[in-house]
Amino acid sequence: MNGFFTLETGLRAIRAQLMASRVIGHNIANSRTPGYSRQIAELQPSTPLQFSTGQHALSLGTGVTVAGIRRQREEFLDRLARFHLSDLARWETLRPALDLVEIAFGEPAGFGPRQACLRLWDALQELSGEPESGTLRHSACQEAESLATTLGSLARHLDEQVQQQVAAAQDTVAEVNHLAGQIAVLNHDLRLAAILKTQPGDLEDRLDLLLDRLSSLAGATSRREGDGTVSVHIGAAVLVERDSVSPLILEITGGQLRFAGAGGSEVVPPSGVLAARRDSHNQILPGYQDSLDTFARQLAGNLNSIHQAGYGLDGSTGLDLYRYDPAAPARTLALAPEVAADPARLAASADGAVGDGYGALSLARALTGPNFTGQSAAEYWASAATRLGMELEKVGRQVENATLLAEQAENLRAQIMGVSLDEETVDLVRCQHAYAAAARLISVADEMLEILIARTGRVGR
Amino acid sequence: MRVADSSLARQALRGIHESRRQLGAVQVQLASGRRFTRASQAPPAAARADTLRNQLETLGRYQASSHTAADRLRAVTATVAVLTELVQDALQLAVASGSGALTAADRSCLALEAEEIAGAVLDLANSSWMGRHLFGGHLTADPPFARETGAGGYTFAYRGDGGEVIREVGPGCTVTLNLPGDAVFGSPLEAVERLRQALVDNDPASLAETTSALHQALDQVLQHQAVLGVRTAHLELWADHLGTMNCAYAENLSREEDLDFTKAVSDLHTREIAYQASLAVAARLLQPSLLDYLR
Repeated sequence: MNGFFTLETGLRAIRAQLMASRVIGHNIANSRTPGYSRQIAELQPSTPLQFSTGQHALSLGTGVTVAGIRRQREEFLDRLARFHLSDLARWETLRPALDLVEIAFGEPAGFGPRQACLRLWDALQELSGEPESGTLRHSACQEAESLATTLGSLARHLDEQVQQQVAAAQDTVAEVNHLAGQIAVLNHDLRLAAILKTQPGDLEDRLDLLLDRLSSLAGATSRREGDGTVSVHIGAAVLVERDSVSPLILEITGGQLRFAGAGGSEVVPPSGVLAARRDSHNQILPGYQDSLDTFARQLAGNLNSIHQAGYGLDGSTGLDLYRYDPAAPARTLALAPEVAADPARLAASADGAVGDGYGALSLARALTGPNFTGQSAAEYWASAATRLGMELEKVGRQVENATLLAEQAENLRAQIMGVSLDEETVDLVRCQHAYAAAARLISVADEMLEILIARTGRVGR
Repeated sequence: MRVADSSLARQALRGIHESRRQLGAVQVQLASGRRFTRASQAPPAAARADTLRNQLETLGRYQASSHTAADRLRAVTATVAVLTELVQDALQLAVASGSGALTAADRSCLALEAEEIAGAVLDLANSSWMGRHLFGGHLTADPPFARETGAGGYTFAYRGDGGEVIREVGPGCTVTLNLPGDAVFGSPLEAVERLRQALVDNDPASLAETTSALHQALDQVLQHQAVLGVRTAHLELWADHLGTMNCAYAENLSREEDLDFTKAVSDLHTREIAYQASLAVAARLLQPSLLDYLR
């Protein structure tokens, strides 16, 4: 132990406090950076000096060193947060799709298929009272046509939405692949860092941010490998392993949206944006398309059989009222061209006499009878609107729940990783004091040395 | 427990967003005057409102139908009432012409009168309403009765059919708006013609028969008139009933979907206060830091 020991201790303290204050500065600078985790300079007593005073063996502390700069993060909480984030992303993606369907169906206000049915019924009722009237025939034909147009435009609207789901899923897949590529690059750096035994906090933060986003998009999960890298999975399929990526591919087979990974094997995103896109494309929207098609088929079937049995003003009989293409009933439903060309051919008469409105009445009654999957036309659409409303309400509640849970998880995470400026300020003040004290220590040691050098050893001078 | 600045900020923002969302919801309610504008906001109430609105719109059609039905029924009733008068006139004529004091010249003069009556009955039988013949069954385009000249005077051919003109005035509930033309006008036409012929022929014996035929015809017409009276009365009762139902449904619908304005306005105030409070709390919470107190 030489005379400069205390000076050395002071210097170490100054260095360590300076380092700590730099870390604090980094924290303060990044207090608003998304995904940043607070870092702490881990102060640790430096290796003590072992020496003997003859009788006693002493271990003398040598001051402080910075053993590491560690980011504050809990992997368990990350996993929890990602689970809820992907759930939230799923419901939040699902909601606008259903929202648009609800607006299109136009219930309870506005103009929807229920109102169109009602107006056709009304026109037919009126025609039944005055079957000779050209005006009423014309308006009944108009309403019949307008019902077909309503169904057709709804069906096309849903088609458009299905297409948009595909386009949106395509974008999401591209983003997933891009993120996966970034992770693969980071994996390379992480392996190097593991070899060099450094703790690259900022690198890890970037990785975690990418993983957060990936789990929102595709419900991806991650696993830490022994070599410091991270492997990412979607369901059971591998997305990233070390620095190789198995890019996700979007496929449409048999009208079903699916995702494929390496070697064309199917990848099933458990939640996240992609799961929502898949569900709305494969199940939810087709469900409403089916209800349109079923209605169009039943409408044409019921009204045609009555219409064929009736007679028009000009004695025409055996004509259809509606025509459609069985492959896409709702989209192609239209008034039969014979009737559209001449409303006199509308079979308002059941017995062929011009004054008979029983045909029109039967057509009207077909709309209020239990001919649409056991319901009247109005009930059919009211229950469709209710079903949709309930589903949307359910999704809305899921969004609320998921938002709360995700926020809760984020808060738990933030308790560990978030920067608190007050806390950093306190630390900074402590650093400053420690620094000042260490500086004082140096000057005291200096004075002591001065005493030794300047005032002693005067003998013989 | 550590509280990160980001948590505080997030919570404050969440509070503000939530209060704004609630404010927005009340605003939409107040602007639209309805408790909900979309089914998903209150699915059970929306379903009930849907059913009620459907009932209401259906009722509206049935009300309109029953009004036009009543109009047409009135036209038929009026025609049959005139027919009754005409047959009564003919009967009086028959009774008067049966008097032994009348000369052949008197009778031929009365025959002209009978001819007038016969013509009026025929016109009545062929009368139309809104361009449609009332008594031809379903064959409303052409006059249902035609007078043909035969050997012993005129004969009448019925060219209509027995079709009933019906109107639906309630779910599955129809009224018949016409009477079979041949049943109503057949015997009056024939009886009046017989009267005319008897007067032309100056045949007292057949005049006596004519009187009884006219009596029978009058009875028939009166029966038809009674049927029409009952039908009209029923229809009027039914229309009243529809009106009452309409009110009831409208009231129900209003209860389901109309906004309670007092409540909404008071909600608006509460939520406004909540919004201001959330802003104030955020301002108080986020602004100060330790730095304000360190020199």
